[in-house]
Amino acid sequence: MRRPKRSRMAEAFGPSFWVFAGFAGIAAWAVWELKGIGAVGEALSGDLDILLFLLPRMMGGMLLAGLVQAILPPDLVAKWVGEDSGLRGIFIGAAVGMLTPGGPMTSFPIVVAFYMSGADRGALVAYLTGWSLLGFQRILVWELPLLGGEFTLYRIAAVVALPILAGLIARRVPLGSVGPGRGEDDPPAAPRRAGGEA
Amino acid sequence: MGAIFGPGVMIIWAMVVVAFVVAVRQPGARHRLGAMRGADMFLVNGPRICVAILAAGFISPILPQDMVAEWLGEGAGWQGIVIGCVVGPFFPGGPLIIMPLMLALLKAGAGVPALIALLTASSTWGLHRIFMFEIPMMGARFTGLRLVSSIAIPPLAGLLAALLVEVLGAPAPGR
Repeated sequence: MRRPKRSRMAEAFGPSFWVFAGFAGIAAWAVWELKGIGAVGEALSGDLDILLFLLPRMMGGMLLAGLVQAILPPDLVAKWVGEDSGLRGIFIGAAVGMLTPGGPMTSFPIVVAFYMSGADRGALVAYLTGWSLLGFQRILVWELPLLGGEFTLYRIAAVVALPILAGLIARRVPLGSVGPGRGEDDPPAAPRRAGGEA
Repeated sequence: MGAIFGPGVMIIWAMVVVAFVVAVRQPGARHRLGAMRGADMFLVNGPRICVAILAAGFISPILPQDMVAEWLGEGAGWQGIVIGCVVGPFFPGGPLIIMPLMLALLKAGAGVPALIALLTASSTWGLHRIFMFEIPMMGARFTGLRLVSSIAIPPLAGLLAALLVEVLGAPAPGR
């Protein structure tokens, strides 16, 4: 299942890398034109801060995702959050999302891990929606102390059912394969479900 | 930007340790496979995320965020909900930035339904997160699917919040 080094390099520096690099170049030029070279320097040093902040979190998040993927038995994932898991799979996805700590550097690697282990799109969308709307860490650390209990309760009441709704809609959207663009040599998780690979 | 090694990073690495111990105890050297996969994911996605962060850093100074915040402070009723849904995606998604801003808007008298719509739109449609993490890691098709599935969520959240305010009265800030 492991790909040769060269193809991983090609993947890392594939089209999306260059699209983002192009965006960065154009936006940097716009900042220079509109606000001068000083603003470019400020943005760069802000970027460096963000990178330093994200790096230990991203490394931890991806390591966690790799380990989760290695631990999770694919047949169990298929049973609980696979295509035939029904409403229960969507509820589980949303609940696991709410319990996932940290920012996008933990949740997105975990989505990739679940996708690779055979979770279906409804559960994945419910997971991301549950995490972003109702993530417990964000509520406890930021919302409650800053905005107060009443506002937080109103907001939770207004959004609590919506991850389930998003998951249900995701199952009905007519789209073929929706996985990460990983190339022809790495098919979606379905064939792996049978027995794992170890 | 907060401390580089704050409580958030501790929680993540504590979970890494737990997952590693669980993997070690499973038969078949799962911990090695897991660590390799994690490193693989990091190698493949790292460069993309770095340039995406670079791009995001250059885009935020040219967005008129302050102006929009003032505008929303004046919005009320369903107009506030619409404005919240429209401007939400452009706000950087991190709670570090958006939560203090919410507090400022709440104190300045912005409507609670509008704020809830804004917060919901920034969480579900936040462009920063979509471009920095979702497209690089899950691809454009999945991102499109998720956006289509959650297109109604911010306005629905705003409307439900308006209903709550109508029935129960506005929440007291800071309580």
